[in-house]
Amino acid sequence: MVLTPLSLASHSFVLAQPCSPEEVDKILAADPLEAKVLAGGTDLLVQIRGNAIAPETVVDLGQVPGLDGVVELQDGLVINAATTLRKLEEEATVGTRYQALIDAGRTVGSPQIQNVATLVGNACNASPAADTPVALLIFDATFTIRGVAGSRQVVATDFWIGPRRTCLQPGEWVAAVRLPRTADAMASSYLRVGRTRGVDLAIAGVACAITAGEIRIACTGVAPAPKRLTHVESVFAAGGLREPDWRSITAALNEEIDPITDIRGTNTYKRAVAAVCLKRAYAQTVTRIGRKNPNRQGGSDEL
Amino acid sequence: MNYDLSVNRHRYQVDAPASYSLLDVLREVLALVGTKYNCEQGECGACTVLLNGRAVNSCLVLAATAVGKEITTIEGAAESPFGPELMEAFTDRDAAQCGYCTPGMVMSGLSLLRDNPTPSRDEIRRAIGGNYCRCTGYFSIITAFEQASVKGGLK
Repeated sequence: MVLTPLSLASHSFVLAQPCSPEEVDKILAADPLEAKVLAGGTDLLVQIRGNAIAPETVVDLGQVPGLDGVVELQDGLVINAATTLRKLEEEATVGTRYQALIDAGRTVGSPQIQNVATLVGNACNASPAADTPVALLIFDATFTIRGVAGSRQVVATDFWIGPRRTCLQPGEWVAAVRLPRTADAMASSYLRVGRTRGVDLAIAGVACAITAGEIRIACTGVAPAPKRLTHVESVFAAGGLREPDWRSITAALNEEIDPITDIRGTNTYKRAVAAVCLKRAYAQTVTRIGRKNPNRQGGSDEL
Repeated sequence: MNYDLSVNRHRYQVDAPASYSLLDVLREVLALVGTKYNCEQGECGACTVLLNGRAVNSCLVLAATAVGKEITTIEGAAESPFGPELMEAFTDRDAAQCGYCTPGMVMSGLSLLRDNPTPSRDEIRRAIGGNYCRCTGYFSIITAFEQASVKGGLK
């Protein structure tokens, strides 16, 4: 048996290291089908090695100033393209206001992956079972998309359009993602079940946020793309957040999701896992609401 | 491409194709063969090295993007904080059998202990979540990490 070396050494491409966002725009515009953006690289390099793609040019964002880091604004938070999941975890504001995003970042891959992978890259890779997109969905994130023709904003609910497909056109790239400021009392969680606690995607995962009688829910692993579950949200709200009517909520969940049967489980199994994740994410969020609002009786005024 | 890399506090001149991963350069160009090839998909952790003190899968880093960063491999572990203690603990606790996962495990350990010198067993488990071992069953590895931590030896 001949072992074919998988090493990247057997592939060949040019590594471009532009020094400004405008240069990135130009390089991508010059070769929109054969140039790929390198942020963290933990998905890109696997795809190149596995011969899923064979770009002629890889465009490294690492030398472009202003692409790394989190900027806090009056009305929200901007997370720039080259910000690693590790860096995000270290930002105090993210932990306070966007806890589900921290939860999600901490389940991606492994510590080694999180030290290199970026939030934006994880979103752009658009796996139907990815962790971070559902956190972005419950916070109504918007993506700042750049290209040589200019820049545009796209809301998270319009960003993921199918398995491994985003709304990005050839030559476009995401420069940042923006999260609107949350209510002070809002709490959130992300929770998933995978085949292992180590490196894996989600069998199903649920992001949940609650504030002032409002609940937001998004689910991954259950549809062609990570999905905001507006039907489940309205059934939840109709029944009241304090004592959820799980029967009708689960029925609504089953109407709104349709997981494929694949290596991670059958349609039936994934439905069951999604329901469990929803209950657990709700419970964890309620506990966090209580911790955030300790002066109120049982912390349940927020419900 | 021509560039300099700083590995274990030595400066090396590298001439390698743009597509070479850090793992390719370490082994094929610099002959630092302590770091291992295995899955090359960032799943097993056998290729783990430190980049600016933090554990990364060297198979998923393009070598040319590691310029200007401090790279530490298993060959540099003895000179790293917690390195001697961790390696002694691995010996004391029989934490290596075939040894293939060991360099990666040790590097993940150095990364953890640098950020958290008193980890709980659960925190240790999380820190090695990206390092596979087929021989030991992980228990002795976790105990070795615990011994090397500031909390110190066990009975």
